[in-house]
Amino acid sequence: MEDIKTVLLVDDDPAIRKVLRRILNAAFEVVSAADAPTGLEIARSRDIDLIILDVCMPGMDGLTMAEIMRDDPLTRDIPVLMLTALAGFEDRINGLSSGVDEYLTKPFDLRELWDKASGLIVGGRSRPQGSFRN
Amino acid sequence: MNEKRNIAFGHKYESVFCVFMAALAFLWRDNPNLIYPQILYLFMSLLGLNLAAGLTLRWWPAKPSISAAVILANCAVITGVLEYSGGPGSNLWVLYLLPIYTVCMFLGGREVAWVTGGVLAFNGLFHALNEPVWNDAAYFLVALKSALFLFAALTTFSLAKRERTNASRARAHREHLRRMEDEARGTERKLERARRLAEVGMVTSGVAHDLKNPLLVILASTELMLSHEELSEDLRQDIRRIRRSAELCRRLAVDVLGGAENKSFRPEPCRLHDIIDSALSLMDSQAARRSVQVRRVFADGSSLVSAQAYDLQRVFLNLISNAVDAMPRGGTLTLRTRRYTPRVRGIPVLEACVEDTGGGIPAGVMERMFEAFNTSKPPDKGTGLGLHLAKEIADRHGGTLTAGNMAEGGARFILTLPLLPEGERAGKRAAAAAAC
Repeated sequence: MEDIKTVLLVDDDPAIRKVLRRILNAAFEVVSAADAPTGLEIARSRDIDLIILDVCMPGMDGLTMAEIMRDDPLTRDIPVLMLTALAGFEDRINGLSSGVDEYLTKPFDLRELWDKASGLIVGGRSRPQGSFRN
Repeated sequence: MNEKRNIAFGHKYESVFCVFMAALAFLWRDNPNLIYPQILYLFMSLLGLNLAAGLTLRWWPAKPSISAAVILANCAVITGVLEYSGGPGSNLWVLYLLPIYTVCMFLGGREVAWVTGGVLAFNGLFHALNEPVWNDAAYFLVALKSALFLFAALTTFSLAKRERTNASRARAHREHLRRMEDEARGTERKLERARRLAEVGMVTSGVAHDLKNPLLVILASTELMLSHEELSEDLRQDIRRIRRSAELCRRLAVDVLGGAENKSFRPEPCRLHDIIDSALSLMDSQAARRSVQVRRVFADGSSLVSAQAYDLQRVFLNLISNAVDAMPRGGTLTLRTRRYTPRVRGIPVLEACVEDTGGGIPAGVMERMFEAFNTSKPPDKGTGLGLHLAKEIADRHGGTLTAGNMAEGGARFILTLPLLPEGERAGKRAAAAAAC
C-alpha cells in the first residue's frame, strides 16, 4: 500500500483552510493550523511532507515561522510552499532564497497549487538547505 | 499680424502727413509759388496712392513688386508737386524722402533699390528739364540731393532691417514661450492625473488585496462543485459562469496590485470570437434587463490573434458595458468583426466593432475619451479608468482602439489587432487555451 503523504496547512482564514483541505484531501492527508505557533508545534510533533504556509497571519507571520523551522533540526527538511496575497512580496521571498521552496500569489490557479505541492512532495526541498540567517 | 499692424500704422502717419500738406496747400493757395488748385489735387493723389500702397501690401504681401510700382507712382506725383510749387527752387523736394521711407520700412532690398533709383531718376529728370541754366551750383544741388536720397535709403533700410530682425526674433521668442507654457500646462495636467491615479491606486490596491482570499475561496469552491458528477447541466453552466466572473475578478485584482502577472506580458494564440462570446455571456443578463438586443456579425474564418485572453475580455466587457449604459431605453448592440489588410503595414488585421444605437459620443467627450478619469457617467457608475485601461491593453497588444459616432446614430468603438496565420498547431493551442 502506498504511503499517504501529509500536508500541513497553516492559514488564519478558515474558509481558505477548509477549501484547500478539501482539494488536497483528494491525494494527501491534510492537517491544518490557524496560526504559526500551532503550525510549528504540529510540524515538530508529526511526520509532515509539505507545509503550505500563509505569509500574513496575526501574531507570528509565515516568514518568521519558516525561519524558525530552518533553524530546527526537526523541521528544516520539510519543504515549504508559501502563499502570499501581497503584491511585490515575491521579491522578498526570492531574496530569502534558502527559507522557502516555492511560493504562490493569491488568488492562484488551483492547478498551479496542485502541481507545486505535488512537485515538492515528490522531489523534496527544491533549494539548498540552510537558514535565513546564513 | 504684427507686420500688418506696422503697415497700417506706417501708412496712417503718411496719410496724416499728406492731409496736412493738402491743408497747407489750401491755406497758402494765394502763395505765388503754388499753382492752385493743381497742387491740391496732387496732394490728394499722393494721399490716394499712399492708401493704395498700404492696400497692396496687405492684399499681395507675396508680390512686393506691385507695392513698389505704386510707390514709384508716388515719386511721379511728387515730381508734379515740385512742378507746381516753384520748380527747381521748390523746397518740397524733401517729399521724395516719403517713398524712400515707405519702401525701406515695408519692402525688401530689391524694391528699395528700384524706388531709390526711381527717386534719383525723377529728381534728375526734373532738374534736367526745368533748370534754366546748368552751372556748377545746379550740378552741386542735384548731386547733393541724390547723395541725401541714397544716404536716407541706406540708413533707413539698414535700421528697418534690424528692426524687422529683432521683431522676428521677438516673435520667435514669444512663440517659444507660448509652446513652453503649453507644455508646462500639459505636464501639469499629466501630473495631476498621475497624482489622482496614485491616490485611486492606493485605495483600489487595498480593496483588491482584501478580495484575494474570498476570490480564492470562490474559485476553489466552484472547482470542487464542478467535480461532482451528479450536477445537472444547467447548474454546471451556472457554476462555470460564477467561475468565469471570479477568474476575471482575480485578474483585475492582480492587475490593480501590479503583480508579477501584470508586469510580464505573455500573449498566447487565442480566438477573438471566443473572447467576445465569453464577454457577452457575462453581460447578457444586464443587456436583457435594459431591453438591449444583441447582434453578432462575425467574419467567417479565423479570428486567431496573439493576446492575453483575460485582457481582451476586460476590453470587451468594458465596451459592451458602456454600450448597454448608452441605451437606457433599449436598443441594439452589434458586435461585428471583419478581416482586412491595411495598405500601410501590409499585415492582416482583425477589426472588432462594438456598436450601439444610443445617443452617441458628445464632441467634448470625444477628444479626451481615452484619458484616465475622463468619464461622462455619474460617479457611482464609472471611474473613468475603463476606456483608459482598454486603450492601454490594445496598445500593449500592438493594436489600436478608436471611437467615433456613426452617421445613422450611436457610437462605434473599433478594436484592431494583428491577425495570426491559422496554422494547425496555433489552432490547437488556441483551442487548448479556450478550454482552460
